[in-house]
Amino acid sequence: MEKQQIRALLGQLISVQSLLRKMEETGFDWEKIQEINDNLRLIIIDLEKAID
Amino acid sequence: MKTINLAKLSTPGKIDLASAALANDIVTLSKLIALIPGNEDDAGTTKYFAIRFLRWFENQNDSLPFAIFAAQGNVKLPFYAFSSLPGFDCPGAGACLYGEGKERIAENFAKGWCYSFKAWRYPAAFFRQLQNSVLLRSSAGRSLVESEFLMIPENRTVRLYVDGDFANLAILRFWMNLTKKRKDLGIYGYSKSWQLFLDLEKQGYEFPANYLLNVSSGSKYGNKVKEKVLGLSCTRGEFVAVPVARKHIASKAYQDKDNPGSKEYRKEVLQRLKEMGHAKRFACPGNCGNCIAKKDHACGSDKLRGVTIAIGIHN
Repeated sequence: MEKQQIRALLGQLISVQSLLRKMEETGFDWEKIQEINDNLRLIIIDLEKAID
Repeated sequence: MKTINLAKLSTPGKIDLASAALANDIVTLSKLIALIPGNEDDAGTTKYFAIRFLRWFENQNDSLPFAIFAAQGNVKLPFYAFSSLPGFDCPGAGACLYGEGKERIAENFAKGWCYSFKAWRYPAAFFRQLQNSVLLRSSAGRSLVESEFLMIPENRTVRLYVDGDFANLAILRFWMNLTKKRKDLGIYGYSKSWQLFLDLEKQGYEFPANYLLNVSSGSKYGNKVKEKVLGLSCTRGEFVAVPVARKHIASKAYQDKDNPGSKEYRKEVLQRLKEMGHAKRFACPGNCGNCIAKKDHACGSDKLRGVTIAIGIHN
């Protein structure tokens, strides 16, 4: 995996982390959970592609 | 080819993009997505979601980029929501899509009061709708929808079509057959595809007992068709939009019964319904799943059969 791809994945993970942090402040929210799920889903797809 | 707003992907830009995807025009779709500004690695951006959608679209054997069913609701009461593209999948749409008294022509598309286009501000919501519209148009796609549907946890509520509608008779039959396979789920929804329901019934089809239809306003069909749909075994009742003072919309009183001004807003909605001649009335307080009693949705409740439920829209 190239450094650039790793950097992109890191950015994606940081974005998920920030969504979780936001929810810590604003309270539990199913819409936010869905957003986190969507992001994780895409990170997994990107990782699968990188491994392949 | 039309040019799109480069500052952001506007609603007309998204309409062009959706049109290309539904026409299976990969060349145009790729060009439109290439025009979206930004870095495809910037998580959460339109470019990020668009590129991942395109990768899947080019090879639909890959994993789906978006969950078919989205979790929504409040803390205690999550429900699963299915959406597809508004307008493209709404054969019964009238004023809601084209505007009051406007012609049903391409130039007026998305010029009505349909709230679903507002969800397009969230790129993931738009691409989930687009993905689902694409899936429903092929038997392989419908198989995927079916397998995800069968995996929904037991005894949950499913809102069938938050955005979009039953696009044709085959799709309506597909959903009704799926509903019969999961008798534990409480499924409800809104539709303006009234003629499709009547056509299905004419074929001798028996609607599932666990599906409740809300006949929503803004349809292209007239009262005669509406009365017939209201008589179907699967119909709960009408769900209509009524004009209310702009202040209720600006203050967000319509969004939650705990918001200031909600009581006044609901009073006005009920008054409008009374003036329209609806005998049994209920004002939707906005927060889905928290409107009547714990773990119940007015729109999905058997107890509210025959009651007209309304939300306010500004004049």
